[in-house]
Amino acid sequence: MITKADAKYLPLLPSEEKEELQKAFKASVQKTVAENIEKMRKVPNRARAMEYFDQVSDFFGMREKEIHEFKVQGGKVVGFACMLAPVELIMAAGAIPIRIDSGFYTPSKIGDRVVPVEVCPVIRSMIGLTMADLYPYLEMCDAIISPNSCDGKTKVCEILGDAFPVWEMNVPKVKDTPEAKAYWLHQVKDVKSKLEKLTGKKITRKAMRTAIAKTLKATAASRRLQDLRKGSPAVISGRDAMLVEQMTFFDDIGRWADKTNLLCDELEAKVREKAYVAPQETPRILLTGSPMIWPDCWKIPNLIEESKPAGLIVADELCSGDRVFFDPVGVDEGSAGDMLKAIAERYVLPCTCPCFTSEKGNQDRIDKLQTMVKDYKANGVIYHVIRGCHLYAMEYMRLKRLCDRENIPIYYLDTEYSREDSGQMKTRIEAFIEMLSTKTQTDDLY
Amino acid sequence: MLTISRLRLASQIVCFLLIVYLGYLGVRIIQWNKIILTLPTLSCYYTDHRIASCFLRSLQEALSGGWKLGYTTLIAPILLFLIFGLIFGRSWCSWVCPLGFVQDVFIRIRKFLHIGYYNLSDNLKVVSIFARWFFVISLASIAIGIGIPHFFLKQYQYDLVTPFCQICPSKQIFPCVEGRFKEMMVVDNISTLSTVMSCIAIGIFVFYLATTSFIRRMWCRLCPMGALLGCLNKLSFLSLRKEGKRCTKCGICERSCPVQVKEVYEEKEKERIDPTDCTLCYRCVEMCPEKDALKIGFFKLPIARSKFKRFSQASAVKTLKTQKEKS
Repeated sequence: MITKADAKYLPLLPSEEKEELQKAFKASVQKTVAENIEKMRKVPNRARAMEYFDQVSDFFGMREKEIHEFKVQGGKVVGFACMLAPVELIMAAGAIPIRIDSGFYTPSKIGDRVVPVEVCPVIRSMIGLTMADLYPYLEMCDAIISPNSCDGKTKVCEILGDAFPVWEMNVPKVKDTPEAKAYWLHQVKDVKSKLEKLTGKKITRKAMRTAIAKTLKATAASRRLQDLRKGSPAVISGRDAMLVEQMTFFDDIGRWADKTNLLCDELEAKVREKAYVAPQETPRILLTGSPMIWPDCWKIPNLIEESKPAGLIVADELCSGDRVFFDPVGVDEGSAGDMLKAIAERYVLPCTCPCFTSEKGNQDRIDKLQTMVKDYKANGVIYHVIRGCHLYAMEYMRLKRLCDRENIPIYYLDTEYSREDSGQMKTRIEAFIEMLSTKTQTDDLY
Repeated sequence: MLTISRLRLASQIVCFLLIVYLGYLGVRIIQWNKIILTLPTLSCYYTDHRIASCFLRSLQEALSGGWKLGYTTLIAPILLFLIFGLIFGRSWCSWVCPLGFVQDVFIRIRKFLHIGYYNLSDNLKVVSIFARWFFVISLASIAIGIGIPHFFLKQYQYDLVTPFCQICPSKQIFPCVEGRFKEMMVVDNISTLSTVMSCIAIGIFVFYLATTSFIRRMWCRLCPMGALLGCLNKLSFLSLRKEGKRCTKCGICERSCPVQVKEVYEEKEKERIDPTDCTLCYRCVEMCPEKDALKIGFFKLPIARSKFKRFSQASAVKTLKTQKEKS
């Protein structure tokens, strides 16, 4: 909460305005969430285990109450603004990790008062949430870990510093030199000691071990779900899977993994029963680019899967989706130092974020996308860029040239959080999917 | 669960027992038409009941025998070495070698106590490569020198006989394994040269004991046998293969490699990665979480592939049990 009128960036809003904004925000968010879930329920043969994720996806529901109770009992909540923050350490310190990346449209308009409209809406939205104390999860944070990954995140940690204690982590831009690794390890150690200070609990070897075991379980569950999505015809719609992956933002990781495993059990039964969500010939689409965050960013997935002819999102390479729990923490030996090193390396080395570069460019991302297209039998790639996300926009051409050589259709989709452009988006997406379906049909012929 | 590292431990134990203790069951050195079985491992001469000979020992004996006596006996050991090396590459070091097993025992004790290890810096790695080739060249040249008639080394032949074996840490360890503790760290007083040699031997042995558990597989990086076998690594039938496109560069392979091989992590184009340092222990294959990214190959046939399940079994931190597994 902003207390001082002379804060660096954020103005102090009058309490009446705040209250009004809070009321309007709650109503609009609940409406959007309900709308989105309503749309996702229309998919035939939707898994029953999705009910749980629908429940968690409500920001003002049961999870908020749980965290609130945890805080009343003296527990600490640590927010993190980017997937490069070491979640295991937060868990090992006994705090609840919450990812505070925001997918709300209305707060992004409030954020316009502080930063220009050209700035990425994720950042503007986070600023708006902080200004008017809108987002319950953000309000409960005792500290925020902010890795300086992309342009927006580099500055937003400064701006959020007006309201919260923010711990920056300096991300090396060239990630795999020995110096960069040592530097990043130092950053992680720094965060570790800050966490110990905040919670008053020492992060022991055993605590780290339990936390890693927990995230490994989540990784296994997440990979299991992704393996199920490789099958054709599909048994889960892309939006459902994206919602599941996204609930890791604030759900309890252990419980999330259990529920995801339950979902996978049900999906495996569906494969046997042949209860598919879409016919075989539906074009399979791979999503990549800027994050799509629940609930307002569901605009594009909704359009893709509801357009005529409909597409099916089979995989995504988004830092808000499949990538969150894809890479495991690989511990070679169980000593505390080795575990810390494993945690540190897991976040930076396999990360395909375009904020990294090297003499070969972001080769890891290109390779990963290439194998993903093959593994998921994707017919086309949609490259999603939200306005202001320059790093993803600048890397598009490299991927496009590769896709052109390999004869994979790729489509650049630049959009915003607002719904004003949904008509235009709809036309563009429909045209692309129609092209895909004719292409698959003709490919089948010859 | 049968993981690669457990399989390797089993193989090491079996080979250790076979090489060191099989003699007690009455089996003598295995030979066929006077051709003695020489293994490319440090199966030490100083074990009384050994069943096979160490290649380095045979090489030194043959070379120091001189042109007429020794060089004809050189053919069989070298042929055997080439055959064994071409089939299995340097996997002898991590799957068979008794001295390697002793190192692994030390490493396992350290792991059990949750103590960390040190890595060699890049400069020290280069030094270790020089050291291992220094051993190879000096052992060969001394042995050849002894073999030349009227050469000055001839007069030292009783002090310098099989020069490497005298300073090899196996000489100190294996008598202990057989219960002869008195032979460990003995300083010879026969002549000045033999005193010097035994002092060097004790120095190397102390170095071995001090480093072996804190720098993983330190001796393997200095071993002259490893240097020779390493040359065959790139040709051997058994190999380490990588599908570069599937690699996410997560760095787990580099971190879990006991001899700090970097190529496994860095290589993205070439299919076959067998650097001379690699002892083919396949820890990287079992620790790789990406499906099919790393493979054990025999010719081009993949024997085992990396996959997430294998990773979660091999990882030091086991995955937390799911609700279903608990009930």
